[in-house]
Amino acid sequence: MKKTAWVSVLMVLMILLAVVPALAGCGKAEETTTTSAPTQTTAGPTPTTAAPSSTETTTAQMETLQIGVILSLTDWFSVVDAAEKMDIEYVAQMINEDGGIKVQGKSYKVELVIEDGKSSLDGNTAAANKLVLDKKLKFVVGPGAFFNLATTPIFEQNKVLHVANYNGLNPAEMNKDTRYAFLGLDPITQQSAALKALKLYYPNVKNVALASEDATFPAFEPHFRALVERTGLTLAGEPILYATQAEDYNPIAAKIKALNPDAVWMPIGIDPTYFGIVKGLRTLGYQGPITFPVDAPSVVGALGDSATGIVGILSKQVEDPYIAAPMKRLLLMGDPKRHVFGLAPNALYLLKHAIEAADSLDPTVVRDKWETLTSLPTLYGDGFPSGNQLYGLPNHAWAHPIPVCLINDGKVEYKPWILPDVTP
Amino acid sequence: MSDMTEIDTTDIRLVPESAVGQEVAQTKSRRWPGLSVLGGLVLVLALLPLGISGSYYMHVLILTFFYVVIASSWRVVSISGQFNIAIGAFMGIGAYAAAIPSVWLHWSPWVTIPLGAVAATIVGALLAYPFARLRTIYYAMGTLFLGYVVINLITAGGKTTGMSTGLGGVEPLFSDRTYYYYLAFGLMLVSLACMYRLEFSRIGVRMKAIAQSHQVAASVGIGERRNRILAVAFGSFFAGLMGAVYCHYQGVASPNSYGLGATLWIIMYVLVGGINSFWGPAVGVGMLLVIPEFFFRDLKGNLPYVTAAILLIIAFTMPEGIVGLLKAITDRVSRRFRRGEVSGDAP
Amino acid sequence: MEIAVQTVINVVLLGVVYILMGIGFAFILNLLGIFNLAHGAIFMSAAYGCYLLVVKLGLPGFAAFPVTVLAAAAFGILVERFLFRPMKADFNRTMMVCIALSTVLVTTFNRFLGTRALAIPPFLAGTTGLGPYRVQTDRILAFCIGIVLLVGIILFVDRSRWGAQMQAVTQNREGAALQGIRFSRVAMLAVSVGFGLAAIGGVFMGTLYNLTPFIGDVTLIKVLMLVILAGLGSFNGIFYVGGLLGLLYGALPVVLPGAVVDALASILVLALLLIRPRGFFGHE
Repeated sequence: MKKTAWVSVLMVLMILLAVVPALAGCGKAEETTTTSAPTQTTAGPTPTTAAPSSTETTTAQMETLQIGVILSLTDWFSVVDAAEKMDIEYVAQMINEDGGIKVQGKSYKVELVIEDGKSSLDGNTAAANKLVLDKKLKFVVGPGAFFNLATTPIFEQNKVLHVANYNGLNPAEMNKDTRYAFLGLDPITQQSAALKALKLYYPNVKNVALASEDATFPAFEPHFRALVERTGLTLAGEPILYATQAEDYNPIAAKIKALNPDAVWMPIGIDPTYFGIVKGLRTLGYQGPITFPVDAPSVVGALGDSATGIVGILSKQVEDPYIAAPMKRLLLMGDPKRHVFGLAPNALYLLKHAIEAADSLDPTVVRDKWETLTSLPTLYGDGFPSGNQLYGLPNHAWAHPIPVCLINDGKVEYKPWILPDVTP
Repeated sequence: MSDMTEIDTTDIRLVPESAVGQEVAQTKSRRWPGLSVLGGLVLVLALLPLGISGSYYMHVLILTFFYVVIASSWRVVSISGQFNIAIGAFMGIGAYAAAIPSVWLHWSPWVTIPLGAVAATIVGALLAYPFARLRTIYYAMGTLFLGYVVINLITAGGKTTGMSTGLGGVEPLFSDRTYYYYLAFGLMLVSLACMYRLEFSRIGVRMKAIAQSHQVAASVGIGERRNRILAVAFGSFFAGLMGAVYCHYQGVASPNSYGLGATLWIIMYVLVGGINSFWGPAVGVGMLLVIPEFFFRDLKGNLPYVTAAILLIIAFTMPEGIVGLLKAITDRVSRRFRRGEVSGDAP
Repeated sequence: MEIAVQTVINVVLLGVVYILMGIGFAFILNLLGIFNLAHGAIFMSAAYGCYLLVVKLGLPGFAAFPVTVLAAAAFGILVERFLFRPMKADFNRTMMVCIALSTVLVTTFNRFLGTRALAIPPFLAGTTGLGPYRVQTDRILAFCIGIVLLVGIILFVDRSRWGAQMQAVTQNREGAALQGIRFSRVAMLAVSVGFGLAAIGGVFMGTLYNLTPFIGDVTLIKVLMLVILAGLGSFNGIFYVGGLLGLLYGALPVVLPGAVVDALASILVLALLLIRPRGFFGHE
């Protein structure tokens, strides 16, 4: 009797406790989501509200050029692409502020037609079909990652010039027959910069352990092995592979630690996997440098005191004294603290300059001209072609200087940007 | 409202549409408007490419045809009382059985598509065997893990299956989309006809009897295991066939399209349309796939809210799905009609 | 050796998280007959909720943790009253509702917070351990809290009046009703406890690992595995099977590459399921 009374008192207390802070918590949680919501929405519409005003004021008779964009705004890949959407809109705004794309004396305002690739090959096919069939677009930016598998055939068949953000090196994405396929970033050059930075700032490193997400890795493997050799390093043991969907990365960290490498190199993956492995490695007491593509504030935020001994590439920050001017401008257009992946925006930037160089809006003419170019401006500075032999196409894949930073004890130190080696 | 649904559910529970007798006499007089609507729809869809050729809506309609068949094939399995959560995996088996020889051996699509369908049927039937002793929720969960295993095997398949990124470069059947349209449309008509035939045949009645009570069915000499395996084999044939054609149409096969998420959405199509009606899957696909694609695609990242809202509305207001509600309404109207004509002749 | 020690710790922690999630799922399944496919989404939402409380509102972790759990429990009461109860335990309709709920939660968090991988700051920073065997202090804390909670749950189910009522309803709903147990109240309790436990799992995962809006999907599959292998209606079985799954997913990745782990573990589970379709500890 006494016990049941006690239990019921406890229950009442629990429920009271549940209701009061829950209400407060809910209210507050709601507040925070709503406060974060407006920032999101204000960040979203600004380009659209800004764009019409610029057309009205500066160039009332400016014609528009619609450029298609495929990004995965829903499901798992939206972790990357939702951010890309915001940035590519800013780049479009940037181009329009500079007077649009100039072709044969006329200026064209860029209007992006963004379609959702739904993080699946099917979704990307649908998006590509929508852009090609319904909107009849001639220029498309995206998609990223391996989704080009689905879109390349559609674009090629319809002679649409498509600039992939980056790709998964699958021959079906880009080969000697896909003559309308361009690539904003040869993914191997990024990693070349990572290894070069590692060698530069940690000269004692002789071998690296390679840890990668397993799905796209097979296509990259031979190139990565060649890259390690070209950089003058050796691989410690065999590459360690893990599934993207793993929950717990500690076993992987333990496996890497067991190889006892001088440094750890994680070329492919998404932020949660990088962070999980670094956390695991540092907990295990691994002291060597770790290199992977980072966004410095995210790394410091997510890793806390584990954020040490990290050679980071691709972090774009306003504080970086070496930052390229167009990238700085892009950063300052929105919240400068945001995570800029800068892949799709860069592809659009390249496309703009290629169209202007060709001085034509015919994708075939642009393609023929683009194949003769050996330098184009990118958001990261001067771009150059890379991987001509690898892709079997002349000057279709591009590369650019790569931002580098060192993170130690949660502090970020920016280093001069590294010019990656050209992939054969 | 409440009494209407009550009457309707008892109708459905006790008198399956296939039951002979009074019901046939009733439906015969009612069948003509239904048939003419159906005929009209087929005619419109057959002529549609003339109008929308080369537009994005062609793509949506082709997808719709695929998913109508796949959702219907799930329902065929379900009429034997099996809540199968592996239909996406059967579709995946068909797709990969077609994609792998097409990509690596460059076999003609005309060989790989039948191969895909046959592979799915065989695997489906073989796998159905150990599962035939599982019933109700245990069957559902068993097949859920079966689907999970199949997807995991595909994902772990190394270079052959392209792992979680999928296989690209599957050879296309045609270069013109209009041909795909007619192929998908024709396949849909033939498949639906086969399924209709099965459901309202003696075998279909047996399957429904097993669904109602496997003990009663056994007592009148209906082999439970045999009929259940048959249902799965039949369903997986169409799922595999459509999976194979689908991957040739898309040019890619990726495990994402056949996983648990995809399977659950296929089931949602059927539940939204109405699991107790032959036309439920088609209506459900129209509701959940066509409507969001046609009218709400521009919402992009917010699109899932629309589908979630549709699901909630259906779950709250139409326990038997859309077709169930329509049926309840027409029943009510016709009953009142008849009551007016022949007073006192209430059913 | 070091790997072995780490692996043991991982196995136990994963096991605890799976067990907490599994018990919550089983409460809802056994009492309401609902396959709560939104369980993974609740888990994910709780992790994000805790993140918001800690990072945006600046609450200390020790305060944010109970607030999140209680908020999830309160949310459970609402969901039971307004989403589950009107469905009258119809399997198909509850499935639709759960998928809709899960879609809404995942989409919302993805829209507003999905563009960055986040992590809840650790409650206790740093590592502790003996000699070379270092462990994050947080993990030890999570382990202790997990064990305390598990003991609490066992006591709750076995000893308390509410637990007895829940067991009574699980075994015989009509009989329980005759004894004057109000089903609606027990159902509400079950859902709120279930959501609360999912929230605990979510916060653990959020502090120990990282957050994306899609972490719930993977966990949901594991929970389904756990509940089915344990057998419907069994609470004790969940502990044993939770340990087994922790072992599979904590230890296998050490010896095998990525995708093979999932394939192998799932084949094993399917085989076990075919041997014992009703689970290992279930009763009819």
